[in-house]
Parts: sequence; structure tokens; C-alpha cells
Amino acid sequence: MEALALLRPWFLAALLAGAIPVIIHLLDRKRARPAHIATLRFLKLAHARKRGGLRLRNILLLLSRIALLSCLAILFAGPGCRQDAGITKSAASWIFVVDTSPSMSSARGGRSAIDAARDAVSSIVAESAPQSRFMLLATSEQSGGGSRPEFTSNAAEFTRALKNIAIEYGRHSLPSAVERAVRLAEGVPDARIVVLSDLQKSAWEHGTLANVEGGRALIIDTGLEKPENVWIDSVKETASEIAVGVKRSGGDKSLKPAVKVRLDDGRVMTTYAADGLARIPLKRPAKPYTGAISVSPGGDVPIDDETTFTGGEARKISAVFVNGDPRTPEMRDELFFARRAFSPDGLLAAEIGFSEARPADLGSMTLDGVDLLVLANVSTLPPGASGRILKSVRGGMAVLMTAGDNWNSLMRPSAPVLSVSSETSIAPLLAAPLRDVANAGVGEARSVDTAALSGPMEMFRLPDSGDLKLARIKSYWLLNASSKAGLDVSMRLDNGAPLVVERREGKGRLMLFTTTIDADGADFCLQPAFIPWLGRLIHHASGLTRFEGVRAVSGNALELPFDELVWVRQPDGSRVSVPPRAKKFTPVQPGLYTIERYGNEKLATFVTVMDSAESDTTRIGAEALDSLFGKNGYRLIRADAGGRIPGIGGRRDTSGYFAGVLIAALLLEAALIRPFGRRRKV
Amino acid sequence: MLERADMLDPELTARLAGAAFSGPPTPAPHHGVQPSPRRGIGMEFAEHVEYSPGHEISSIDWKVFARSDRYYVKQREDERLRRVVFVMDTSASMTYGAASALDMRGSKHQFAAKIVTSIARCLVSEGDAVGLMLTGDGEPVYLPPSGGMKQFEALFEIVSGGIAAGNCRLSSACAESAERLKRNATMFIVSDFLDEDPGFEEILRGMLPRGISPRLIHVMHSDEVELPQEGTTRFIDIEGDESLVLDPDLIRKAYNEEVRGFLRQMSESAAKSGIPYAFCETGRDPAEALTALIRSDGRSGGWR
Repeated sequence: MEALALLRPWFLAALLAGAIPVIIHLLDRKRARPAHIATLRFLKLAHARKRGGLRLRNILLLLSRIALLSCLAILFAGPGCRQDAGITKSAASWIFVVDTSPSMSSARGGRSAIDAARDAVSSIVAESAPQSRFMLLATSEQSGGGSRPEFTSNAAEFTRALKNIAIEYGRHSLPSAVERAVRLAEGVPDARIVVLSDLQKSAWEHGTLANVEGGRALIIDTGLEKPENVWIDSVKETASEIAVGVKRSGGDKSLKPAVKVRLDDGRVMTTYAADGLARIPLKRPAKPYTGAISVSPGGDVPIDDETTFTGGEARKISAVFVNGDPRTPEMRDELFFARRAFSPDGLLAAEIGFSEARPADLGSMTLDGVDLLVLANVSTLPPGASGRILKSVRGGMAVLMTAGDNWNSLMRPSAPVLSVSSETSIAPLLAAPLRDVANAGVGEARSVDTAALSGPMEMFRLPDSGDLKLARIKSYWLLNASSKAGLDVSMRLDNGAPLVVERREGKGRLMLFTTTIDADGADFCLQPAFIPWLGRLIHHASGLTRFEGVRAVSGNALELPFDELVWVRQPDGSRVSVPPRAKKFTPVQPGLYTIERYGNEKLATFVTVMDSAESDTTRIGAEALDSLFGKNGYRLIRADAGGRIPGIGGRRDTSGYFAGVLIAALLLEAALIRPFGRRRKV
Repeated sequence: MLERADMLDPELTARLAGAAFSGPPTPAPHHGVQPSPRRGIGMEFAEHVEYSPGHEISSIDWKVFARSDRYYVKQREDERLRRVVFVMDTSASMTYGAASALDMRGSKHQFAAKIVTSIARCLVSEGDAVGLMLTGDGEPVYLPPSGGMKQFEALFEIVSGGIAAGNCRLSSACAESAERLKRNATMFIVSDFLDEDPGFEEILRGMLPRGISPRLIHVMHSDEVELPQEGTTRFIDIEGDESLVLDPDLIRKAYNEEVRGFLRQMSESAAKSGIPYAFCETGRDPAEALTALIRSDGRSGGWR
């Protein structure tokens, strides 16, 4: 039931003005000017002819004037309709959880889901009882931290904050945000939690809602009805084509969206996506280039209809593998997978050019163009080789040494081959001096401390990046060094012993893996994470981490493979500096980013795209909500197009209706009274 | 009461005299100079008409009989003295438009007085006899027709001293006047004809066989025709206590239609009865209408 709610009800006293026309009418009759006339005959006849019309006209005129004055009084009073839901009758502490995920940008008719959310919050704030307090929470995981938000009773301040709330890229978790709201509501007896969301599936499925008991939430659905969206899911550029993956949620799946590719050299190509894939033949330019891809029609979410990409052939890392094991590599079954990865059609072949050499070849082979020299289980070098290798390292090459059983002889007192002065010693190439070999007993193998992974290895802390913890290390070398010696330890055993150590040497670096890369001392090579780990190690060691073609996800931190101060130029033209130690950068705006070093020298480019999960406008089902909140843990209502919230006691402005009546009364008045200029002088 | 200056309109008198009263002066003092369409015993030949029983045998033109073998009678101009009586309405309704109860300037009464004196002055100057009857409150004032300036002065005094008040008894006044005139006279009836009198027309038609020719001069105030009042107005009937509160702006159109309908009805009714009729509205020059009234043919209601 809707009741009239007035902002300034005391103005209703002016309704008495509605009696003015009646009073004027009565006074007018009394104050009628007398005029003598020779006969009343014609007046009576004329009056008799017009009597019916005049009576109707007078009644209409009286009613229109009463309506006019009454509407004016009501308009001054600020009319609106209040829905009686009981929720806004008393002062409360409102916690608004506003979904700021990119899917909230979905819009129709120029009005987005986040606009509807803002309007809904404004509506509740406007209708809230005096002494109410408000708090605003966004759902982005990035905005989840920081200082504890406070309630404010200043509606103007809160409205300003509401106005500033905007779409945030990156991961969003509605359940986590609701849980945070519940925690904030603890100890606040009049707290009321209102969640405003488009109920897009991915944001609701991410995270858990464990502590919602007692936090009965009101969920206001601000999403579009029957949402549909088309977005660019993937871009793969090869020498002969660009393959654009296009996905759709909702709508007619048989429609084939048009995909347009515009290269920076001015070429424009258009095709249609069939079965979710658009293949655009392309003769790839020799130099790195950028392009823009758009899909049309793009559906409800506008910000995923366009993306940029980088292309062009990237230089491969040139790696030389020197195996000190007397047995031939073919005989080592455990390295089979590694060899497969480096083979021409292997996983790492596109990025790493792999060749093999014997230790004896190191005396004469040229190291020009070599980015990484892997010395696996090499205990001695040909005379003079260490000097040549070290010179190359200072010029930018990297050496990765891995331990092996050949090193056992190094520790014999009779063979102090680790002496730096020895021409055949590997000591100059070690990142840190060796102290001793440690062999774990049977059943006492060590494992990797994944929590201590840092630097290039940090990415393996993520659960979906392969689990290095499964590896068992039976023997490893202890080092005689400390962090003060300029060493970086990026991987340790569970007892703290270093596993991957590196030291800068000139422009290059010396790296040491303190256990074996084959299965003699550890079973790394048998783990699923081995190939990605090895690839990452090689990339890092060579310093030529392939960065071109990276498609980062907005809001997700990206590790920059640069050991110097760099600047990241964002799509809007602004620049952000990234110190060499920080290395991490979180791109937010979707688009093309350029990494520059001092002097604006371009180092690399990468593309940031919106998380494609946000593009999928599929809505979360009622069952899923029930399982999150419990059947009675929430109440779901839907905001209509005008920001009105049925069932929450929203106030709907009805001044338009009264203004309409007022205008109609004015028009009626104008039509009924004599036209201008018809008055004449007596 | 009216001042002399309020009643004399030399310009109107001159225009009526120049337009309507042309003709040579008659040597006989008892004869008027006004050429009459009535065929009588005068010296001037007027026309031949075919003989019918009742004509004098001596008036048969035998020369014409010799030429055409048919009897024709010579008709001559009747140059006898004309008797004209003005019946003037002095009821209260004729005061409409007056500046005040004592100052009749601007009223229908003043306008009617101006018309009566102008026509009378023309007739007297031509040697005709003029008389007057005022009909209003009380007994009618009657001045028998007679010629000469003294008669005109007497008529002038009566008109100027006449007080417009009360109801008009136009029918009885006309009947009484006709009774006194007996035969062969002209009667100018000057009124606003606002009183509804169903026997009035019958009385007028009864005069015609007796040679009494009635002529109607309908006087109305321009405000009566237009209804210029604005805003809610209490209209008070001058001849009674009745009043009516109205917004004239709302009924003006219908009022104008009613007034025009009344005027049209008056004109058509007069024409149908063969009675000359002239409408004179205050504020407008009445000369043209009056000239047409005086010149109107006997067979269509002119002089007889």
C-alpha cells in the first residue's frame, strides 16, 4: 500500500488556499458593480440560452482553481509515495555492500547496473530515519584490506562517497565482502546489511561465506533482465593468423558476432566468429606490432567489447646444456620429459632455443649469442674455460650450475679443486662457495618450503602453478655464505637450506641449484611442476624473460622481469615507476601498457584485459544463494528502472503527477476565461 | 430636463431640409409646400389613372378618351396643408445613457428630442402643421398640430420640459392621438419600443384606412446594443426594481444576438405592415436613416 509522504508537510496548511476561489466567487457576487439597463429582457434571454454552459464553466473554473492552488501547496510540501515495509521506520546502521565488479558496468538505455545500485542506496538513505548511520563497502579484493571503515551519520558525506564508487577491476568476491560486512556489524544491534549486486555468477562463486549467522542480509538485484553479452575471450597470434576466441552468454547463440581487427599499420580486417572462434589470416609483420580487436554486437557489458594485442616474432633464449654426467643423456630416463619440452615441438621450444655440449667443448666453443649456460653435474672445466665463461657472464650471459654426484670428489681433501686459483676449477662460476654435502637418511628426504619461495620462484606459491612441495630432496649441498655477500635465495628447503641461489656478476648472473637436476639427488625432474619451474628458471637466469605477448588480467599483480628501475606507461598515458626490488605491478585499466627505462627507452609491452569471468553475465541461481546464506539468511528483492525498491520502503517522487494536474488546471483556466484582448473599455 | 442647446442640432435640421423638403413654396398660407404622393385637388398635374367607379366624372380627360377610346382620369398634386404629430416615448427606459437623473445628456431621451425638434423645425419652416404627444409617467401631454414658429416654440418647450419616467403606454397614446387627428395626418412615433405591447401593431394598421400614416423611429443607445460592461455586474431594470447579477463577458455574444434579433423583428414587422421604419443609434448620425424614412414611397409606407 502506497501512502503519500511529504518532505515538508507543514506546507499542507497552504491547502486552505483552495478555499480562496470559493471566497472570491462569493465576494465577487456581493461586490458586483451596479449598472442600470433599459430592459432586462435581452439579458434574461441571453442568460437563459447560456445557463447550462455557464454553470458547467463556473464549476470547472472553480474546480480548476481549487486544484491549482491545492497542487501548488502540495508541490511545496514535496510529495512522494512511501511504501510501507517497516524497514525504514526506525534509525539503523546501514552497511551497504556494493558490487563493483566489471559486470556491473552492463547497461541498457544508458543506465548501468552500478547506476541502479547507486540510485537504490540513495533511495534508502533518503528514506532512512533520522539518526541513521551508513557505511559503504566495495567488493573488490583489493579494496577489502586497509583501515576499518567507519559509519557516518553525515548523509551528504556518504552521498559523495557513493557518487565516487566505481567499477574496480581484478578479483571480486561477494561472499567475502558480505562476510566482512557481517564482521563489521558484530556488536552493532541496529545494523542492517544491504547487498547491491547484479548477481553475476563468477563474483558470487568466488570465496566463501562462513560467518553469516545472525547477519540476515537484504540483497537488492540491480542487474539487467535476461542479460546477454558477447566478449573477446582470447587472442592468439601466430605467423599466419590471429585467432580470436569469442564467447557469449545469454541471447541467441546462433548469431555470429563480427570481429574486426585493426593493426597499427592501418590494416583493418573483419570476419565473423563461428563456433566461438574467428580466424583472421595475417602475414605477420617482422617487427613487433600492436593491434586492436573489437566484437560487435558486444552485448550488455561494454568494456569487454574491445581489446588490444601485441604481436611479432620474439627472440628465443639461446641455452646450452652441458651435462657432466659420464652417461649419455639418452640413458637418463628421468630427464626424458625435460628433453621433450626443449625439442622443436616441445612446450618450451617456442621460447628457448636449446643445444647440448660436452664439458670438453667448453674450452673451445664460442659463447657469443648464448644467453644461458647450464652446467649440470660439471665438476671440472677445461683449462681457461672458467675465465672465458666468466667474461661472457660479465657481458650479460648467465650460468646455471646444478649439483651432481661428480661434485662428491670436490670435497676430498686430496683434491681441493674448488680452489679459485685452479685453472680447471668451477669455483669462479659458483654463486656461493660450497661447504659440505648433506645426505638425508632413508625416509628423511627434505621438501621445498613453498612459503619461502620468492623472486622468480614466487609464482609457484599459487596453488594452480604446480606443487613443488611434492618433490623430495635426498642430497643437497650446503653453502658457505651469507646474504651479505650479495646472494639472493629464491628457494629453500624445509630446513632453511638454500636450494636456488644467485649472484649478480657484471651484467650477467651466476645461479646455483644445490641439488641434482636428475633423479640422483632429488626427484624434481619427475614432478608435474618440473617443466614450468625449469622454464621459469631459465627465463630468469637469462634475463630475457619473454614479456611480449603477455595478456595480464586487470587487477591481478604482474611480476616485471626487469632488474632496474622501470616506468610503466598505462593506457591513459600516465606513468608509474616500479623500483627494481618491487618488480610487481598491478595493472588496472584494460589496454596496452608500455614498460620504459630511463630515457623513455621502450623495453617491452604487454596487454591487460578484463577478467573474462566477469564478462559471463550468467546469474547465480537461487539454490546457490540458499547454500551461501542459508534459506532464511537473506531476502532478495529487485530494484526497478527508476531506482525504486519494492518492499524496502522506498520513497517515490510524485511531484510530477501534481505538476501535471497543475498544468492541466492552468490550461483549463486559460481555455475557460476570456481570451486576451477581448476586454473593452466601458 | 434638457437645455435648448442639447436639443437643437442645426446640422441635422439642415441635412433633413435639404434632402427631404425640396419643392417650390406655396402662395397659399394654408397649403404646405411638401409634395405629397397623395393625389388630390391641387393645380399641378400629377398623372393619368384609369377610371373606376367613385372618381369624379369631371376629372375624366376627354382628350385621352378621343385618342384611345378609354376613360382616364387626371390626377393632380394634393397641395393642402400637412398635419404631422410626433408621439414621443418619455418612459424611464428612455433615460438610459443619461449622465444623471437630472442631466439627460447622452440619453436616448435627448437623442429622441433632437430628432423630433429637427424634423418639426423642417416641417414648420415649410408651412406644415406639427403637433406632439408625450407618453410616459402620468397623463399624456398633447399639443394639437398647428403651423408657425410659435407652434414650434411651444413644441420645443414641451419637449424640453418633459421628464422621462415611468412606464410607456405607447399603444394607448398612439390610439388617442389618432382619435384626435381624425383623418389625413402623419404620425412619427419615436420610441425604443422596449415595452412588449401585442396590440400596438394592430393599432398602427387601423390608422392606415383613415389616412393617418404612422412612421416609426426606433431609438436605441449604442451601449444597449453592444453591452460594454465588464466583470460581474448587477444589472438593474430602469423601469422596475428587478435586477440580475451576471458576468457580461460570458453572455455578450448571446445578448448581441438577442438585440439584433429584436431589431430585425421590428424592421420586418414594420415592412410587412407597410409602415416606414428607421433605426437610430445614439452616437451615430441619424440623418441618413431619417431621410430615407421621410422619402419613403406612399405605397410602401411613405407619405399619404
